[in-house]
Amino acid sequence: MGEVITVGIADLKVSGDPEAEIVTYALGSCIGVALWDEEARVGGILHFMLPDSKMNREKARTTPALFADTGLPLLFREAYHLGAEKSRIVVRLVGGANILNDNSLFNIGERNHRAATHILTGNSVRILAESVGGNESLSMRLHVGSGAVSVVTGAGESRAL
Amino acid sequence: MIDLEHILERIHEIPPMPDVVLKVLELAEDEECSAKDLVEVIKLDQGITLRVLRLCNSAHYGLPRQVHSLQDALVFLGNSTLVNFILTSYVTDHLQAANAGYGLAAGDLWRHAVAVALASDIIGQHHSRRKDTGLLFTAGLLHDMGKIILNDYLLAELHRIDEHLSATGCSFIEAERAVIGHTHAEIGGHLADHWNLPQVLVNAILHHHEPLQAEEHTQEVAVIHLANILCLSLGYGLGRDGLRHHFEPEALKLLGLTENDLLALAADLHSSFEKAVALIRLAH
Ligand SMILES: [Fe+2]
Ligand SMILES: [Fe+2]
Repeated sequence: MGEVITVGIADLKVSGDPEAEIVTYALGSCIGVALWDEEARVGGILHFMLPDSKMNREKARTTPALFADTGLPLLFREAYHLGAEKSRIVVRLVGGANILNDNSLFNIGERNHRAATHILTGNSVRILAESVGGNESLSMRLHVGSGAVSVVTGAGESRAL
Repeated sequence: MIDLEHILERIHEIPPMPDVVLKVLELAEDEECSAKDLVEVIKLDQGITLRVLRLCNSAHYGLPRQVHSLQDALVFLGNSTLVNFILTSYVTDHLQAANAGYGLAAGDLWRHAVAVALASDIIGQHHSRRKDTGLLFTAGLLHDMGKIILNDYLLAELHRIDEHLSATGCSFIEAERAVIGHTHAEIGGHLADHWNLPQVLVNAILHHHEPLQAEEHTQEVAVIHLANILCLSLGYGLGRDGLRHHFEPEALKLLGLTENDLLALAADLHSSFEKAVALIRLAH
């Protein structure tokens, strides 16, 4: 068993230790972005909260991982430091759940998902798989060595993504 | 369906709210309340006094000299920080345990309560531009207390709750009502009554999922509703219910806020939460 690295809300962690596992809990409407480079054996998770740093510029400076548009570049940069290369990186997205609504108001989850997809595809990053939407709160784990990602439901059931 | 009398009996087994805490709450509501009044009340409780002093003298504040008296502590922390700290210390004991019926691990309900308390405070400040936001923090802190009472009942009916949820796609609160006959909001309201809490707290707790049902204190109820929705969305102490709750857009209108205002406050909430949790840990 390798080290377990926990990523908090509005936080990101990367690792080049093939034994390590990176986990993040209770994503709610936040999105967990798991990054992996097979050749470099580098993995990382970003747990961002909001789609756009324009919402609160001051906080974007102090806590860039709060927002999709400031958190994602930072996640990639940290992975590059460990030897990852953009052309080899694949990502998986988990979370982005929404509150029940009949009027599609307060759909942060949806907006977060749109923002992440827009930024990633705009930069030609491959989104390998995703488990996004619904109204259940998910957690996720990434095994750095194998790149395996599992999604854990609120009821504790785990499935591979 | 569970008989309300049966649940009320369990509520009555819960010890009453200590006088000191009730008195502090009363003073917090009173805008004229002076630091001296607060000191007079707090000093009656040794445990609380000790925690307050320990907080001030913690490395976190790095004060050049020790704070020995409540008077100095109050000057240093300010009235509202002190009041919020006292209430949080008190309810922390009630909220720490796991509530398996709600899928909440140990500490989850506490994290959720503290996040909603801070969010309520932040929304209140933004809305009214007052520094003193009265009892909003407390209301946020207590809003889900009903869960600690309903937990056992829920645990016995998990299967039927899940069935009801997947068959109807309703909200969790509607499933509680359909299967148990009562909601954690309603039961929380009874607990607030049992504790002789001010009516504004009873209403905020009772209507936090269905804010349009409130006949008075509608603004306070709206604040707690929004704070709860926001914290659930952001994943602060989520349980089995996940995000299966209704958002009432009228609550935003009532406070003259937009959805984006609320999201901008979410970023502030994140840093307040980290700070608050560190402070509470220090003093415990
Ligand atoms: Fe609730
Ligand atoms: Fe809640």
